[in-house]
Amino acid sequence: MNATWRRPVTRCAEVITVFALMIGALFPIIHLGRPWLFFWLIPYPSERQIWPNLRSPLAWDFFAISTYLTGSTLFLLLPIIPDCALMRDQMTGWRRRVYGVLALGWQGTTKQWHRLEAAMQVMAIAIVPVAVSVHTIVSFDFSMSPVPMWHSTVFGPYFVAGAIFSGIAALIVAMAVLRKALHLEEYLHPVHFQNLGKLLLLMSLLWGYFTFAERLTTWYGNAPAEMAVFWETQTGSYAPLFWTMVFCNFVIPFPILAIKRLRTITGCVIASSTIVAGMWLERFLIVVPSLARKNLPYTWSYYRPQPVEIMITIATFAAMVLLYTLFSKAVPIISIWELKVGGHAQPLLTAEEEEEQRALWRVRP
Amino acid sequence: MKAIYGLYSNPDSAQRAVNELRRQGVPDGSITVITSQPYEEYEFSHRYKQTWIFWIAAGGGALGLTGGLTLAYLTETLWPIVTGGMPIVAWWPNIIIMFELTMLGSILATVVSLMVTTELPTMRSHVYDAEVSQGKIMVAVEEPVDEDVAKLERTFRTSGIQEIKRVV
Repeated sequence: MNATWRRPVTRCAEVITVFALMIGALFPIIHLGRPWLFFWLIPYPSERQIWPNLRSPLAWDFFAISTYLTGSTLFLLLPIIPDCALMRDQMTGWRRRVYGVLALGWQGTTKQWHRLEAAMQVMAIAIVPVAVSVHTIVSFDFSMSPVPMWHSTVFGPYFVAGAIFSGIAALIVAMAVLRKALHLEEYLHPVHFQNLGKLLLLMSLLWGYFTFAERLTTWYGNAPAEMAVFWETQTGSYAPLFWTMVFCNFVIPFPILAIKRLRTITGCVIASSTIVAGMWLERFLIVVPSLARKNLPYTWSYYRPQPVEIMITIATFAAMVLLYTLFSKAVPIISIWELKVGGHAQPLLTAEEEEEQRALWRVRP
Repeated sequence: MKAIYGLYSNPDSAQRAVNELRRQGVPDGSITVITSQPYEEYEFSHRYKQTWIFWIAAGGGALGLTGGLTLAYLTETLWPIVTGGMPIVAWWPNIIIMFELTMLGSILATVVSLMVTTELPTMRSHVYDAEVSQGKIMVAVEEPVDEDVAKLERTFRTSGIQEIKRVV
């Protein structure tokens, strides 16, 4: 993509992906019930002859999350190598030694730059379908079960759209905090917030569309078990949370992001903050009402979070903030060399590349 | 390692130096250009543009696909469990395992080929100058023949250099 404005933003976003995934990957383990046996998910030949069931979404989670975590971590770390080399040369003492090790002996030869850029291209191509697959597979944890309002074909794309939506919102909030705290005004300009705000607007509309499609299909089907959950969220005990979610994800951000005059840094941060809260409520409303109103009414109950659960939730947010702060303290949160490249003129094309370009822009074959 | 190099403050001078060195008969393999950022718009950075990395990534993907298929098939046939009325070898869920391992194979092959071709990580001493990180561009001739050193120095000087350094 020729979106050169994205250069100062990419690392901020990649760091969110990696840390959110690391924290997210802990949750299937926490929810296993016996987390000390999490390694049973790993497909290895066990002496007890208990093999994992590869037809279970939990086993899919293992493959999808580990692939995505590996891919996105490498995608984050590879372009950091030249920046570490830069810091190695600028630092003194133990810091120089640490960054020297992290730089892996990087020199900056033309061959190294070419290979790094080629590898980044391949990784960028590979990471997108993996990202789509991992969010779809996480949605399969729900949609593979015949639980009311979970067993839906729309869940895959709904989760993918939700992940992009909340990801952009979190990115905008993180960027605003970094801009203020680290005085990055020269690098993170209003245009970055404007452009991300437009993307957020698109995702808000897409989220609204998916929510409407999901709800309409359930309502039209009128299946008793599904309708019990449906009404519980529309007018029942979960209605305040549901309508807060709608306000946070659509009603509040839509005008802020749609009206150019309001799409300022402050406007984008307000919209993003409501979206982060709204998307948390969305996940809560996917999990809790369906489990509280399952097919057989004798299992119906009301959910009250226990102190341990509240602490786990708070701990995840704290862990995210802590990891992000430590990372941005140790590593340039804006890629130095990528930013410099953004300031170059258009690359000189070889004769072959020029011919290729001409062929692509030819009006008549 | 033995080398002679010049530090240039702009890519145009570095390009002139590379051209001049070539004119003097220095083979491309002996000329090393080191920068703190890629300069796609200059010819000196077009060397080594040809790469097998895309094919290696595809090969890694093919290996991952084969591994995923084998793992799923062998697991299901060696320890058959009937679940939810699904066949023992269930291809729909197996596609997920195969896809993920294909992508993992592709990603890992890419990173390994990057590390191998760029010789990273390395402890060996290479020709390098910390001024590169200040934005200077280093043009070096590695392992020059002793008789040619004076000629190379002259070549560097004609292309607008301020300082010539030697590694002995």
